[in-house]
Amino acid sequence: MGLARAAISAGTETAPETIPLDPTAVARSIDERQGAEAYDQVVVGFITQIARELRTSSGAETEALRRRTSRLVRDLRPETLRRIVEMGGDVGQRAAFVLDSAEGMSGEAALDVVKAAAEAGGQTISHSLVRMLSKLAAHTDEAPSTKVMAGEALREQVGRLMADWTLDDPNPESHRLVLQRFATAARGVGRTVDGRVFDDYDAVRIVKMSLESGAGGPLLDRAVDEAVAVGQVPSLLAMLASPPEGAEAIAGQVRARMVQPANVSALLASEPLDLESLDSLLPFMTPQGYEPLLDALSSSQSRATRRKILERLAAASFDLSEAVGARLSDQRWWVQRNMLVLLERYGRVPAGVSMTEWGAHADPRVRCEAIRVQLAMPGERDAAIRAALGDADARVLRVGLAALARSCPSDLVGPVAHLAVSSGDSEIRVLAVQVLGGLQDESARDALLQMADGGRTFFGRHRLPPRTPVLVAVVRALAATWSADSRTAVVLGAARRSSDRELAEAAHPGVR
Amino acid sequence: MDAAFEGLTGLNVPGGRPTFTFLEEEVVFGREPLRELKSWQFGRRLIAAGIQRIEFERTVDREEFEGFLHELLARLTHTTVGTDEARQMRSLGVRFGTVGLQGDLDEPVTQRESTTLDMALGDEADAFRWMQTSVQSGQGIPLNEAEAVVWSLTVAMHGQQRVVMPLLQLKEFDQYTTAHSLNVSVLSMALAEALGYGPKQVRAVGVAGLLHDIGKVSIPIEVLTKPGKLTDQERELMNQHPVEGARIILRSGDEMELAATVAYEHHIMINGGGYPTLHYPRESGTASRLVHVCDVYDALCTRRPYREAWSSDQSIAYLESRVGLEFDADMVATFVRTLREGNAQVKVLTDEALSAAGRA
Repeated sequence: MGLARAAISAGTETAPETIPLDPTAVARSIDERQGAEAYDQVVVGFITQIARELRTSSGAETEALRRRTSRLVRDLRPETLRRIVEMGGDVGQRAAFVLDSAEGMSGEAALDVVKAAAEAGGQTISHSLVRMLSKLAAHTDEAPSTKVMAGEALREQVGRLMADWTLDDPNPESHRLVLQRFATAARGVGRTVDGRVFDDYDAVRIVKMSLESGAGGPLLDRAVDEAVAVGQVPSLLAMLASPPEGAEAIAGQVRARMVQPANVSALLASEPLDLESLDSLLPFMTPQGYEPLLDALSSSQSRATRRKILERLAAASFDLSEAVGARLSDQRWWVQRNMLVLLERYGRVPAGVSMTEWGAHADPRVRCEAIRVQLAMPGERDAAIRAALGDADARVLRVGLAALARSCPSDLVGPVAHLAVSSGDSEIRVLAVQVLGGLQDESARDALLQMADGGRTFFGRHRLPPRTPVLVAVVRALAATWSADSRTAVVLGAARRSSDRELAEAAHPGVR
Repeated sequence: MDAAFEGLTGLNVPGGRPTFTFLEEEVVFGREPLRELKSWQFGRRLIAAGIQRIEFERTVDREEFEGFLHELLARLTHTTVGTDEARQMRSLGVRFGTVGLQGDLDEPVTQRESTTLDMALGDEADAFRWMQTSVQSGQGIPLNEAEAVVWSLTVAMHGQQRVVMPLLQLKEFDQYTTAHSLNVSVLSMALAEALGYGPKQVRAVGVAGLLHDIGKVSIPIEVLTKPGKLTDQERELMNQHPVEGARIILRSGDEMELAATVAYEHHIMINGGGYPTLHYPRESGTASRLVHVCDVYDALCTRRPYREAWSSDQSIAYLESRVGLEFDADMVATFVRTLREGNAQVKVLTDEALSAAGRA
C-alpha cells in the first residue's frame, strides 16, 4: 500500500481508496515517472525495504506481498528497474538489495534484479549463466520439492555471482562486509552438511599434482598454505627434494609460498618447534619471512625456542637491523634486550637509534646489551666502557671490564684500579685485576702491589694478605707482567713459599 | 594374424559383407551353418563376452583387422577398453554385438525416451559448450556457469519422486565430449548420493564430473573423433588430457581442488596403472575413483564413430570384471546396485528431445 501510494499519488492529491493496488498498474506508474529523482528515491526506499522484509518474514501476508512485489518487479521495464537499482545506494547496499531479492522474491523477479544490477554496475553475466539462472528461476514456481532446491540453487548462484563482482566501491569496508556475507552464504558456511565428505583431497595431493603437471596458480598457493598449517612442511620439503623433471619453476613457487610470513608463522607455532624444517627453508627466506621469527622471538613462551630463533636471526643473510631497530620500541625489557643482542651480532645500528640512550635504560639487562652494541660501534668504544665502569650493576661492569681486557686507555687505569681495590664484588675485583695485569703501566703495578701487601712478619718479611681468589689473580697478574720488578719479586717469593698450592703456582711467570 | 587375415580376404561372399553368427552350438556364416565348427568352444566364449555376431561391413585392411582382434581380445580377457585411446583403436569396418531383432545393430542400444521441458538438457549442453570455448580462448574455467549447470542437473535429478538420471545421447560425434561430460556429472552425483555423501559434496563431485575431460579442449576434433587406430603421437596427445585438464583448472583459481584432482586422476586405475604416470606414487582420491567408474560406464554405453554402444549390462559386466584392477569394488557395487535396483531411474535424452524443448 505504501509503495503503491508513493508510486501513484506522488505530487498529486489522490484519495487512498482510489489508489490501485494492482502491481502492473503500480509498475506502469513507476515506468512513466522518469527523471524525478526524489520520486525514484521514495520508490527505491520502499522496494528495498520490502525486499528485506520478504527475506526475513514469513506467513500468509508475506507470501501475498511476495507475489505482488515479484509481479511488480517483473512488470517494470528493464531500464526502470536498472534506474531503481542504481538509485539504491552504494555498491554494498545495491548488492544487499540483490541478495534480498534473490531470497525474498520469486525466482524470475530476482533474476530481473540481478540483470539490472549487472547493468547498473557495468558487470557482465554470460548468456549461458543467464539461461541457467532463468531455468532455475522457472523451477522455483514448480512443485515444492523442486521449488526448494531450485530456490536454494538460485540464491547460491546469485550470491556467488555477487561475490565475484569487483567494483570500484566508494565504501570499500561496507562492500567487503556485504561480499563476505555473500561469500559465506554462497558457500553454505555454518550450514549443517550431513553425510560423508571427500576427505582425502588433502593439500599435499594438490601440491604433488601441481609439481607433476607443472601448473601453479591460486589453488597451489592455497594448498601450500593449508599444508603448512596442518604441519605438513616435512612432506612438502621431501617432495621438493626430488621434484619431477622440469618442475623447478613450480618447486620454486612452492618454496616461495612456504616462506611467506603467514606460513613461517604457522611453522613457528608448532610445538615442539620443527627446527629441521625451519632450517631447510631459511636459504629461501625473504626479509619479510624473517618478520615472523622476530615476532616469535618476542612472543614465544619457551626460552629454548627463543634461543634457537635468536641464533637463526643472528645468522640471517639479510640486513635485518632496520626491522630489529623498529622493534626496540616494544616496551617489554626482554624484547628490547633481544633486539640489542641481534644488533650486536649484526654489528649495525639503524640510523636514529642511540646506544648512549639505551645504555641509560632502567633495566641493567638492557643496559648490558646496549653497552655491548656500543662497544662494537666505531668511535663509541671508550664511551661505552666509561658508561659501563660507571654503572652500579655488576653485569654491566663485567661487560666493560671484559672489553678493557683487550685494551685499556691510560686514563681508565685509575678507575679500574679503584674497582680492583674497592669493589664489594670479588668477581669484579678479579676482572679488574686481570685488566690491570695486562697493562705495562706502573700505576697498575702499584695498585696490584698494594693489593698484595699484607704487612710484615715478625721477622720483617713480606706478608701476603689472606688467601682469596682476588689475591691469586693479583699474584698471577704480577707474575705475568712484572716478574722482573724488584718489589714484585718480593711478593712473588712470598707467594711461592705459600702452603697454598694454587697461590704458589700463580707466582710462576707464564702460569695463567 | 597373417593366416587369419588371408582367410578373411579369401572368403568369397556375395555382396562382400562376411557375417558370422555364434549360437550355442553353431557358427553360422551368412545364412549357412558351419558343420566343422559345431560345438566350437571358442564360439561360446565369444557369446559370453557379448559377441554373437561379427559383420565385416566392407573390405577391411590388415590394420583394421588387427584392431578388431585387439578388441576381441579385450572383450575376452576383460583388459582395459574404457580409456579413450583404446576405444579409438577399434575398427570402423568391423561391427559386432549381440543378436536381437533384425536390424538392431543399426540402432543405438539404449532405449530412447521423450522428455519434458524441465529435463531437456539443451541449455546445460549449450552452457558447457560455451565453457569449453571460454577455456579454449584461455579465459579459465567459468566456475559460476559450471556450478549453475550442476545445480540445474541436480534439480532435474530430484524433480520427481525418486532420483532420475537424465543422460544425453547426441548423434553428432563432435558433441561427444559435451554429452559425455554432462552424463558423467549426473552419474557421479547419483553415485555419490548412493554412497551417502552430503549435498555439497555431491554437487562438488558433479562439477568434477562435468570438468573431468576439460583437458580435451586442446585436442583437435579430428583426433577426438578419429575412426580407427590412433598414431603414437595422437595417443600421446590424447593421454595428455588429464594433465592438461588439471593445469587448466589449477590456473583457474576458485575452490576447485576436487575438480582439478579428478581431472588429473580419472584415468588412473586402482592397481596403479593407467595414466598419467605419477612421479609421487599415491592412490587416487575417492572422487577420482568414483568419476572413473562413471566415465568408463558412459563411454562404453555411447555410440562412437568407430564402434557401436555397449548395452548397460555389458558395460556393467566390464566394470565388474575389472574390480580390483581398474575400479574400486565399493564404487562398482554401489553403482551397479543404483542402476539395477531402481534407486535411480535412467532417462535418456536425445537430440530430438532437445530440439523439442528448444522449440517449446
